[in-house]
Amino acid sequence: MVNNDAPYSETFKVHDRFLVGVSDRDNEWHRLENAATGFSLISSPKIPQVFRLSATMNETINITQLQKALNNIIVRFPYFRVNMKTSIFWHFWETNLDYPKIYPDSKYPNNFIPITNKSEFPFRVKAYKKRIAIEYSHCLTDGTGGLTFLKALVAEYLNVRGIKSEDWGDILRPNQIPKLEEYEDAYRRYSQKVRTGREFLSNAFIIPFKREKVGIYHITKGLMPIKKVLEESKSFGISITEYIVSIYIESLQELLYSFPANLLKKNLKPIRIMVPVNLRNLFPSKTMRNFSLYILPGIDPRLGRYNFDEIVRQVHHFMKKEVHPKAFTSTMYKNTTIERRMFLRLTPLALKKFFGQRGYYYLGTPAYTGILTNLGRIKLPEEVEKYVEDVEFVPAQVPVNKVGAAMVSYKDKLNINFGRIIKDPIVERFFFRNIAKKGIPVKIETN
Amino acid sequence: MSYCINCNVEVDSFIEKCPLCQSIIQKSDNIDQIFEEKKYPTEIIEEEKDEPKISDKRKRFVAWEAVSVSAVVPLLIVLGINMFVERSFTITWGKYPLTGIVLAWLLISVPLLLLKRPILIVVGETLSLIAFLVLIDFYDNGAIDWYYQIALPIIGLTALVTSIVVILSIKVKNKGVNIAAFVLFGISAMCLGLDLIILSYIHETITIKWSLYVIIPLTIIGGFLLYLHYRLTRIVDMKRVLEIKKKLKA
Repeated sequence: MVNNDAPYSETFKVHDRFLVGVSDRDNEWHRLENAATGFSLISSPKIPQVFRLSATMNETINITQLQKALNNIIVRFPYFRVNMKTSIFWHFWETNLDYPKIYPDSKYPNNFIPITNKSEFPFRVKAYKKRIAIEYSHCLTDGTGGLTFLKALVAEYLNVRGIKSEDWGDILRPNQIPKLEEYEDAYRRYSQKVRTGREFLSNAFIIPFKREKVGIYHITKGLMPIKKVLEESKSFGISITEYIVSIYIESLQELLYSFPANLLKKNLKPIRIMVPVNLRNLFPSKTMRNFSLYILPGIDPRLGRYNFDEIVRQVHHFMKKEVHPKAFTSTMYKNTTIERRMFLRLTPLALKKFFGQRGYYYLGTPAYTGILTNLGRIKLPEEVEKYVEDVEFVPAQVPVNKVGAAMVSYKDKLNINFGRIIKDPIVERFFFRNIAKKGIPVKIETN
Repeated sequence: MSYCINCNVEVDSFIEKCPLCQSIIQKSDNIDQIFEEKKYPTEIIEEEKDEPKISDKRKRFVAWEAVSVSAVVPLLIVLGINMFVERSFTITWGKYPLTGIVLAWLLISVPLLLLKRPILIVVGETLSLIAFLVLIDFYDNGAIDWYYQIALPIIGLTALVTSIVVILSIKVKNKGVNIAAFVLFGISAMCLGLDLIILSYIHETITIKWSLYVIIPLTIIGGFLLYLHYRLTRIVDMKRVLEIKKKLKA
């Protein structure tokens, strides 16, 4: 399918025809998948549901060339070239044949994108000095889909700058035809009818500080050598994700025990971390839309204070048990069943949004203390890698839990980005001090 | 390279205070500031709002326009059916629903157009009700009879009690359970008035019966609420008693 020599004009024609489809209509529409439906109901300036992926190049970004690269590459991602429309009962995607523009970067990232505005894309490409950043509405895609698009944009930017490569590796190129499986609602495809009942978790320890004004989002980035982190995690016989989750839980436990007696008593609840799992690793899907679920490893401080070894054991065994296709198949079925119910389908969208936003604050989200999402190790073809200095992943704002973290490793570094909506970096302080205590050198950067 | 000795972390060379603990960073002599720069811009770009901003006044006007146009539809339907049934251009039974539709339109229009003017709203709503009941009484037998004895006193009483409660609730400095007390006293006054007006109309003598059963408990509860608000809260810190704490500021 790949035709590297096809001129762009031909490519546009192919993809525009693909978008329009056989019915010759001016535009096409498709429904939101299960996770996107949930995100669309709660998305607001207070709950932006926007995450960010960025690549820092080895020289200052040329905006004109970046815009050209974006115009070229967007046709390869027709499922991203959309605008969210509102009907009486649901939101849906409609093809948006405009071209997305480049935005200047802001001090505070990951703020609300008004995706239902006319011609608004559900992502924004931002440039600042040497960095290309893309902020995605979670309604559109998850970290894996976002990373695929970022890699394709960076490669096309290099191509526009005249850097030619023999081998672009797994990077998607503008002259390829999008595959139908990239559009798929993988939740529906892989869910299986099973009746296991729904477990309701008690509320977890929630950081009891007041959020800052809406729009303020503090980022604290910790850079550390991946080799050293790997060595430390191997000494416990666990993965890097399990190791970092354990340190996160240990830090939250220390934070809890640093409270005065009355506050400690009030907040003595389970500490759980929400760890998203990329389901493409468990199911053979190539979808570019959301396809992840989460697990909640944690400890219960009501049973007593845990030492690090105990936390590691809890996290390791929990994750080994929970990260299993069978467990996720039933969760997918339960989640997709909700949106299939006739009663909910016939409920007006305004009512769904009203109850959805309140549900976000009072159900589900209070079941965990923080979030840690790991995008894994980023590999770029050699030709591209020498122009890309750093890759970053900034988590979405979490209004209930207040602090979240996202990690990604690139070249010889592990980047952990904490995002918080409270003033004091109290969680980050405990976390990075714990990392340093374990003999891992850390460099801190902030916005 | 700069280093925070409290947190044991490295920071950018241009950083003065540790981002984690805010302690002053000790600078070493061989700082190389050339390769380190701020990772984010200092400017804050305000994100666009979800929808273009429309003023509240404009929104209210659009809502009023929609209500007005919507009211015309049943108005024309009733008018049409009345004329079709009667086979003439005279309005017979249709005047009752037509007057009702006009009243509904007035009751919705007044608060939409006069928001934040509570006195004018009360006056507007009262006049609308007065006009409606006068017309209904007149349609009945071509004369105004029960209106003066029943309708006008009840409307007057409702307008008076509502105005007093609303004005008191707005003007009072410390708002709390005292508002609930004002509402209870208002309900008591309404019951007393209704009892007087209705029984006087039926028996043609001034008597009070059932309203006492409502007035006694409501006055006692209202009085207790006022005591709670104006006396007890000065002596006891109620927030402390009820364990209401402000959230900690980080």
